[in-house]
Amino acid sequence: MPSLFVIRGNDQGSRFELTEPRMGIGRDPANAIQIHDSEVSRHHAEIRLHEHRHLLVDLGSSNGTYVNGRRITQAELATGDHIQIGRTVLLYTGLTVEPAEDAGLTVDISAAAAAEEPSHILHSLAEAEGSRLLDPAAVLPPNSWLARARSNLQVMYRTALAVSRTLDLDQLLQRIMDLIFEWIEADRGCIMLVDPETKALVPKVRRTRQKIRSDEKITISRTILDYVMNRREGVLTSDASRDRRWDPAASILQAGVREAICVPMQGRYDIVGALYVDTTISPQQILQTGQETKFKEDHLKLMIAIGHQAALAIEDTRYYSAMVQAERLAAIGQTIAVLSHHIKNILQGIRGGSYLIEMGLAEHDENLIRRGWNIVEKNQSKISALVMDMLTFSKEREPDLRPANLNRVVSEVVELVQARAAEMHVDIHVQLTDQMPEMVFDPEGIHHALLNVVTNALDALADRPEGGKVEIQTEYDGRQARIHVRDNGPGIPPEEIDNLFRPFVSTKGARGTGLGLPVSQKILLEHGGRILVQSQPGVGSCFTLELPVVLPSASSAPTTEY
Amino acid sequence: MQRKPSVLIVDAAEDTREVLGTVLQRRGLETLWAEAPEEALELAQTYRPDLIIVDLEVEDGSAERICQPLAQRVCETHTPLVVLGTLRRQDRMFPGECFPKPYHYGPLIRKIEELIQGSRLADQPQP
Repeated sequence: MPSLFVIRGNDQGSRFELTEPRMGIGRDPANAIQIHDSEVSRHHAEIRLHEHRHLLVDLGSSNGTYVNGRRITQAELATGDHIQIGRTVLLYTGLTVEPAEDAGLTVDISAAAAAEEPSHILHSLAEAEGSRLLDPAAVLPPNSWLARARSNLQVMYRTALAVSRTLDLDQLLQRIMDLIFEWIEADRGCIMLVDPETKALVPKVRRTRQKIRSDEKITISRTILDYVMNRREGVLTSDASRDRRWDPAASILQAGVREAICVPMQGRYDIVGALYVDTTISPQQILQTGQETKFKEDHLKLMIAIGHQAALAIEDTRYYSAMVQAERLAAIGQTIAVLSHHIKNILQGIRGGSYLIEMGLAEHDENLIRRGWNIVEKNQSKISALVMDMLTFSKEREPDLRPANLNRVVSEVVELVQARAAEMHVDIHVQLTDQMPEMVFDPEGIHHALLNVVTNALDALADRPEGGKVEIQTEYDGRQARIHVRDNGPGIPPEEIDNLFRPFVSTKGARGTGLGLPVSQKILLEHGGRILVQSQPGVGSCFTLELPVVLPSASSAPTTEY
Repeated sequence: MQRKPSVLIVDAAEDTREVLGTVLQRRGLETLWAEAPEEALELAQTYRPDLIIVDLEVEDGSAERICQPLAQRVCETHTPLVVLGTLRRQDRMFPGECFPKPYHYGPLIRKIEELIQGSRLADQPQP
């Protein structure tokens, strides 16, 4: 499946499959490919499917669309292209033209005894020998077949690396096969990979040159494969026996000659598999050209080089997948550990409160019951806040966009925290701009995001006995609306700034879940906005929630920019 | 007259400290509170409590490291110790009773009283 993979930007790691003939790219949620990047236009560009190729068309965006660093209005995409819009970079992986054949059904690894082997090895070449081809210092005649092939191999390795980013091993194998067929006049070919568990060679991809198309199974002798795998040497074989070759009258002219090249795929660490190609030279060809061989030692060298490069690309793909998987598992483990810790502490609080209530009931002490109840209530709201944060953080949620007033949201949040601020002797100073128009955003989402930021500001002042101050200010400049939240707390050490938005990293000990800021940031990103942090240890911090302005009239006309 | 038995509670969680403080005070025990292990060590040296309760289940895992001097003190003075949370094998330096979270207060309070009584008896000067 062709796809776009975000390799840089807020959506890094997202993969969009190109399933529709036309797919919009932009900041607006109506786009099939929504990019959370404030420098991307609402309707920035479009991907169109045109005669089995993808066209990228810029829709008059403000900041332009770039393919491999070049600004374009329209461009045909090739696999491996980097598309840059705003601060986001996407990697394009295209269509596979040749349909894949089920290799398992059509490739046989023959276990026939050596004595019955019709083919024998004409040449063999150590793996290292072939790799030398790629050494830039290797002297090759200019414009020679090998020199051209070598320059193309460099391209291939880069392409293969790009493809490996998609984590799609099958697609990578198809591309390797394409490249082999481009350079070697083989009739049939297949790639076999070593199964990581059973260590057996398993055929993965088979390709037959179109004009030949046969259903005949590829039979690869076990003896030759063992030779290749054990000695790590590539071989060129022919079934024309030495005796027969000097006797044109014999069976060659009836059956022709089958030649094959089989090479190991030697990676950095191990052999990952083998490449096999063969060709049949018909009796007519032998008579016409007088040549009984098509494959030369050069072909063998090239195949070995391709085998090595392919193995590197396969290893990269595998290690990348394994790494992603391991990281995922580690992240899940960490998440569960942190959540269990919080939930345990909350449960402990509830048990404590209940115990006081129980004691109060037994001793008819209403004061004790009240104190117990306060503890229970406090923990109840803690767990519901935790669940809400978890949901906001985990869900691919759509912001509930509607016209609302940002100043009003700020006032509501301030009202909520006022009591706690008074208890802490913190002065909350609010300054709302009268320029603020009615805008389209998710008022509840922004409320949640701001509440988390303001709560943090108050927490930062917890150890300050007096003189604590939180300033909340709104600002509007026509393109962006901003809420600044400033505190005169201890500030954030520079080395901790990077960790601020990482989930479950909290400096507040038992008080913080480490979800507050990541949740706030997620909500702002969903709006195409962001959170900016400035902090000076010993002076205080300023968090700015920046929201792109969407006026109620503009939202119904999607092509309008800002 | 004998002084009231005292308990030192080392726990960052406000709730635990409030509940334990209230309950133990009602049972005629004096409670000392410390938020951090460093502070706890100071209090332990000054007031020589009859029992120490330590919450070991803190997030950053540094608790064991910081608690070590406290553990040493506990061993030297034979002060009984109650640990709230789970001890990992490598933290066996703590010779205390363990109450994994979330624990029930009933059994915890009973254990505390039992330990205090024992330590009181042991402390009484031999005739």
